[in-house]
Amino acid sequence: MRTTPANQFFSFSRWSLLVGKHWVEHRRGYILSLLAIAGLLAVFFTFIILMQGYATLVIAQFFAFFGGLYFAGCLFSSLLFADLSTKKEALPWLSLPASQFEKLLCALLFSVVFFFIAYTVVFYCVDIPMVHWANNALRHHPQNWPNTNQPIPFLSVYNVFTAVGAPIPEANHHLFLYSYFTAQAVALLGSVYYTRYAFIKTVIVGVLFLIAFVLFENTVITPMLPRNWNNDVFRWDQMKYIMEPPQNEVRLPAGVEQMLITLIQFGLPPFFWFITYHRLKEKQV
Amino acid sequence: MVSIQNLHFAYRRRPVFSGLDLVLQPGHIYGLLGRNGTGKSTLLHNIAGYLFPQQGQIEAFGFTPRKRLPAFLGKLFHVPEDFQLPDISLAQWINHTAPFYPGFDQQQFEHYTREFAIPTFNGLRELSYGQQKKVLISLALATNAPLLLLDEPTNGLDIHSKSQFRKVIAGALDDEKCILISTHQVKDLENLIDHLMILEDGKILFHQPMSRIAETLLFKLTFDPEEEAQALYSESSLKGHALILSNHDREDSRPDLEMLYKAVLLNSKTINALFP
Repeated sequence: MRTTPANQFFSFSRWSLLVGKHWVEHRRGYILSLLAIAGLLAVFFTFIILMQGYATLVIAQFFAFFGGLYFAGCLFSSLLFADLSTKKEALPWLSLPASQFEKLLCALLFSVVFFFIAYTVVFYCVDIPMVHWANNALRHHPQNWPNTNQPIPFLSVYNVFTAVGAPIPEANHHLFLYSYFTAQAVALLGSVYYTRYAFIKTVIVGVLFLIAFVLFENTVITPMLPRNWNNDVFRWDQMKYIMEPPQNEVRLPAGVEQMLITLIQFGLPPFFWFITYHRLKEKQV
Repeated sequence: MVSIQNLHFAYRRRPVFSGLDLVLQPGHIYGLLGRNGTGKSTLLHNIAGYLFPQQGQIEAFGFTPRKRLPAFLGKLFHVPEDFQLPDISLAQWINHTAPFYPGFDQQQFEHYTREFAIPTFNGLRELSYGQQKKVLISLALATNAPLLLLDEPTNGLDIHSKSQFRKVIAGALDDEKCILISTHQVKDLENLIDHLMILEDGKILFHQPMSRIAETLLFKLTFDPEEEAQALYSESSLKGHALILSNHDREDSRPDLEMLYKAVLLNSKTINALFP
């Protein structure tokens, strides 16, 4: 006979058991999925190099990493609670003696931590050899940029953490990486909220939300601005005078701007996790 | 152990329970009978906390099931009618599931798997549906959970396994356990349950211990037209008329659950009136 941990909200020993059970029951699928991702990345890089040339690998690394991360990460998250969509899988899940918080925390460990680490490792396992292959080819057969005499320099491996070399202006803020965790948290919530076709429905709702946001910017915010002043959906913190010269811009106070950016970067995923937790508690099958 | 008071539950516009009251005590095996769609599984799901009452209260071991606290879930094991086991070996599954149940006993589990003749070295998905069900029932019993909810447990079991099931369940009962079996396979419950409950129109239409049923009602086969005229319920067969009569003389007879079930659905007022 074992003793029951007294804490009904969180017990580390119970959570460890849950993590172990989840891993044993799903590891085969996870390993196969990672191998499939590696294969797809390798095919994509090879295709890009052969069709577009070595130089394109700079951009391809960025888009392959984030495209794959967003798609696979959100799909993976939306599948974590897929058990809840069918009665025969939901009942054992709900009846397992662990708290809803522990079950959510287990899902977050696999989707937020393990998936990100595994995906990044797999990405570099494919990316590094591809960059070496491209550099070797450039070493033996130097190429110039199209229509110039400028030689294409050796490529470097894209650093997803510092965003150095990323073909985006947001390199400093690195919003793509932060917003991934928000998108993933939304996918997780969607998987609890919708019982069927959770991933597709969540994507549709996300797109509708973005369309509503753009419409709000264009039909409500922009008409309120003075003539020739404009704002940008992706530069919501600053207004620009678009007639040149002179070019002016008005920004939120630096402290407020930083606070909002920090809140969006770090506040949104926990916000969606919180809602997911409450949806889980109220989930009925 | 389990107390349900004034339970109201509906699926959108379809009401299932409207003021259901029920008390389940330890030391008993309850058989829950009812037509398809009367809410047998829904009642089990409300007790287990998968569904929430819209009105009324459910309490089990002092817990409110809808909160699904680990301490409550550890005292209950639900064997659903339809289930899916993971694609791993039996040993792996037990090693990673049993530790959640404080009362789990490995030796008991091995005993039940032997009783049910389950091949233990196979992957769970390689087992047939009936074998998977027996694995689940073995785990349910070996957890020593005080409350077992079995939803159509004999579906998918062959004839031999059904009799083993009855034997194993009867042997597993003790003073601290309560077993609730929901089924429409009435014959499978005979000689197993000690309380019969019949669910109809969102309420418990009939709820009596088997001992009182045997005392109060007489089940007999006869060709006597006079006896047939006094019957609470009768069915014709090649062996004569099967009757349910009021057991004035306290004669011994073996209750036929299928007949009793039909009789209660046809004439519940008269039959309930015999049980003061």
